[in-house]
Formats: sequence, C-alpha cells, structure tokens
Amino acid sequence: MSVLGEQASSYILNFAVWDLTKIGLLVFLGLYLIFALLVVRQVQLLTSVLGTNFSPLFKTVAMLHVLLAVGVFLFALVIL
Amino acid sequence: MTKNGLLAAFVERPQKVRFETQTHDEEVVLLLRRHWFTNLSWIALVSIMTVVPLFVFKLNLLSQSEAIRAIPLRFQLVGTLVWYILTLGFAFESFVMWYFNVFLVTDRRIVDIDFWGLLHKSVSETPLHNVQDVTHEVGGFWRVIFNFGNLYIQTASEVPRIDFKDIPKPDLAHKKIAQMIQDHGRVRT
Repeated sequence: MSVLGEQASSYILNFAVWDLTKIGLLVFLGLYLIFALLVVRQVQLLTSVLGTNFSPLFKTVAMLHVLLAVGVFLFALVIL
Repeated sequence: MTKNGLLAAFVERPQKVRFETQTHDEEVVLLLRRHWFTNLSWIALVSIMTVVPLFVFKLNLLSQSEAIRAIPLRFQLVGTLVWYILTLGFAFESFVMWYFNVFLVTDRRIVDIDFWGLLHKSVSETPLHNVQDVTHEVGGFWRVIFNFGNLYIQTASEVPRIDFKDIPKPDLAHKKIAQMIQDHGRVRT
C-alpha cells in the first residue's frame, strides 16, 4: 500500500472510531435519560407509600438529576 | 439516633411521617431503618468513583501518557461528565433505597415496607395482637461494636414472620415492641 493509501486508511479508521464512540455515548446518555425519568417515577411511588418531611427534597433531587442528564446529553450532542 | 433527621435509623414517635395504609387516628410509634454501617460499601464505592477521574488526569499530567492524549479533549470532557452523572445516579439510588426501606411500629400494627429494583415494592404487616414471639440477635464483630442486629417477629397472620434486618439497637426495639404488645392487651414475648 502506498503512503497515501496508508494515510487515507488511517484517517478513515480514526474517523470511524470517534464517530462510533460518539454514537455509543449518545445512545448511552439517551438510555440514562430514560433511567433518570424512571427514578423520578420511583421517587413519586416511594413518597406516596412513605411520606416524610424530606419527601420534597427527594423529588427535587430526582428532577435535578433529570435536568443534569438532559444537560449532559445536549452538551455531548453539541460538542462531539 | 432518635431525632427525625435525614440520616436517622431509629426514630421514636417520628413527626410528619405518613404511610400508604395508615388510618387517620393511627400513630407511628417507632420507625426503623438499617444501621448506617450497612451503607458503607456503596459510600466507599461512590468515594472511589469520585476521585478516579482526578487521579486519571493527575497521572496524565505526570506521565504525559500517549494513550490518554490520543483521546480528543471533547471526548475526555464528555466522558468525565458521564462518569460523574453515573456516580450521582448510583449514590442517589442507593440512598433512596436505604431511606425508604423502613420498619414501622404503630399503636396497632407492625409494618415492613420493602422496595427493590426501580419500581417494585412489598408491604407486609401484622396487627400487634397477632404477634406471637419477638426475638432479636446481635452477632459478629461490627454488629457488636456498633450495636445493630436483627429482630424477628413471629406472627399468627398470613405472613408468618417479619424480619427487621440490621436495625440499630435491636434490644431497645425489642423492649419497646414487647411493651406495646403488653399495652395492647396480650403478652406473648
């Protein structure tokens, strides 16, 4: 293989690796977002079964967790 | 700890605690959770997960590792954020599971609320007059040091035995439950 050919294959390989990594990360973050939404539902269920004076705190943290998951997903979508 | 704080595992007459099947004139007398010591494994894991990226970056700076430098900066940044959000999710989920898995003793019954997985729950209960036997055990080095153990409540209900695992001060919980059963009109402990 010529030098040019080697450079081209190396470029394609490099491009494919990072492109695939990007897709993998975005799919993972998408799944994580679903998990974060499930956690919100779980906290709703838990606080309905056992209500304490800390119930609003748990709901707030669960919502913040979703917002963080959305933020990281969008950040990854833009920056990668 | 008897105060109704976020980390309390042995709370007498907790304020502002309501459970799903509680009647309006029923009072929660005792709320028990697993001893804080049982949380150490996940707390240690979260602590390690928190410092791992710091060590990786420190090592990278010291060794100028080719392997890490080959990763584009934007991927390193997103990878770190993903790592930390995973750590946060794991810590929150672990804490929530500890906080909401409780044993309640009301002035009428004993309730064991268990959650597992993301959306599964199980609630077992028995009226105080159905309690036939109460046993507690404290065994093992850490249990003796920190005074936590198991409390077994044998019942005449459909649920033959309710287990309170790894609760703090099982002897005191035993005493209080026995007293309540006595007050309730039947002594079988």
